[in-house]
Amino acid sequence: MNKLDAVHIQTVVKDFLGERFDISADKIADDTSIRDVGLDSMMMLEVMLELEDRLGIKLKDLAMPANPTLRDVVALVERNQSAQTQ
Amino acid sequence: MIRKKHDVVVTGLGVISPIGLNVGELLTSLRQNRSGIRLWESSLLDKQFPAAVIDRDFSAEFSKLELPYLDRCSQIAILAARQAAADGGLQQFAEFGPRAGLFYGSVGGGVTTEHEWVRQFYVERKQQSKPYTIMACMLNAAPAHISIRHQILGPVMTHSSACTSSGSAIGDAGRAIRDGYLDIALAGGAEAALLPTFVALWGGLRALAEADRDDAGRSCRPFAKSRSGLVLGEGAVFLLLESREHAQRRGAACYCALSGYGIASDGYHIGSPKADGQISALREALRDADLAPERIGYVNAHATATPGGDPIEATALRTVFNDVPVSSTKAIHGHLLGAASALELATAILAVNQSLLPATAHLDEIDPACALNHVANTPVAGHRIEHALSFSAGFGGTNVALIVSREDSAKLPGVTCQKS
Repeated sequence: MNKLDAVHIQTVVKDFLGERFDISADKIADDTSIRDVGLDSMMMLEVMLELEDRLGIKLKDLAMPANPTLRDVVALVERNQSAQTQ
Repeated sequence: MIRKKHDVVVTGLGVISPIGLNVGELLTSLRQNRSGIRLWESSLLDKQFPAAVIDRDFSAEFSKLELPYLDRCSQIAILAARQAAADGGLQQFAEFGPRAGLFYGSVGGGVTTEHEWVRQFYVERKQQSKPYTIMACMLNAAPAHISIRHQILGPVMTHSSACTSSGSAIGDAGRAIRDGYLDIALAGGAEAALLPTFVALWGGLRALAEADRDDAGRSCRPFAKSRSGLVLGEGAVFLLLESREHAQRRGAACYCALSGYGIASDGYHIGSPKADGQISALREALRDADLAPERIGYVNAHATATPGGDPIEATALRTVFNDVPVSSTKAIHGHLLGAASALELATAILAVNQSLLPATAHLDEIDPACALNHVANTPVAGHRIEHALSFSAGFGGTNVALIVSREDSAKLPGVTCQKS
């Protein structure tokens, strides 16, 4: 499987946040925390499950900071990708 | 007589019902005896059913960040509770700390969410639900959301005793205030279960009314010789209750007093009522209010229009009362299950507040087995009522009677209290 690039992952996250929660993409910067846009931990869990479906990946490692940013989400996906390709 | 520490008064009403989306609309419908019952259908059911549907999608009232947790039942409960609080001049209860409570009744809770998940499991073979599903369908979801939104920090209780759920919730809230445990409480109930699986459950019981051939709005006929069963409905109704002293301190006027509560059980059968338990609940409420039966000026009966239930209730009412005017307003708003007691108590409140005897619609030929002093077909305006009683009887055998009493200088529907 080709490795996903950060921009693509960001786009998928932003698209889903817009569709599901009405959060516009211009409100989400790399360092925007999920709490700042109104998401709680269960919503974040849905985001991760949706990312698995949309990106066709399996996230085995779900460790993230308590209040993750978009950058943390992208890093998580990339970390899982690296683990799978090693 | 039961010694009372505090009088309990009703300072706010919130109504989301098939016959009105606020207390003013409810009053208008009661005055006009306007039916909220119509034909309802599902592509999954072979025939149409009469149902008391609220023809509105309330999800537009909430953001997409809120909606994942909110079944329709929670949505209408939140809206009705907000109305009741605002009607009493309140938005937030944090200043009352643990002296503010919330008492709620429902039969099904988030039924739509739960049944949709079951469909996904069996049909789509999904192995896991969405993260929020369990919290959206649990029975206490609605009161939890209301307590979070309004910062109600004392007891947040959920009652489930079938058709008496919101009645016992209101009764217990009133007792907690009367006995000094609380100063103020929101109390009521909600039900939003008009979906094919739930309607088919009731169809299986053979308890549902046949649709009237000429006018679906006439399908629910309590006490009538031609009655054929109950009509399911949906809605949410909340009361703002507080001690008289508390209401006076914050300058809140009241609709009436909540003066009596009786609760008693049949101890008889899971699905068949017994007059003895009903009589006990009625007499307990009279004792609680310290009133002789002849002091009651109006009874809003439970009467669902089932062939078996109505005569038993009529027997109970004849045993306790001599000639009190009786009606069942389910003829126009259907059976709201967990919200039934609350809506019918709201009707009794408007009866004493507005000097109005609500009628039983479609009561052209009274079943002799249901002989009572019926307010048939036409509401009576200008009829002063000092005390009114609302009665409910639930599957499982729980019976609840609540009494409300007229107050001088009472607030009128639609006039919101000044914010404290």
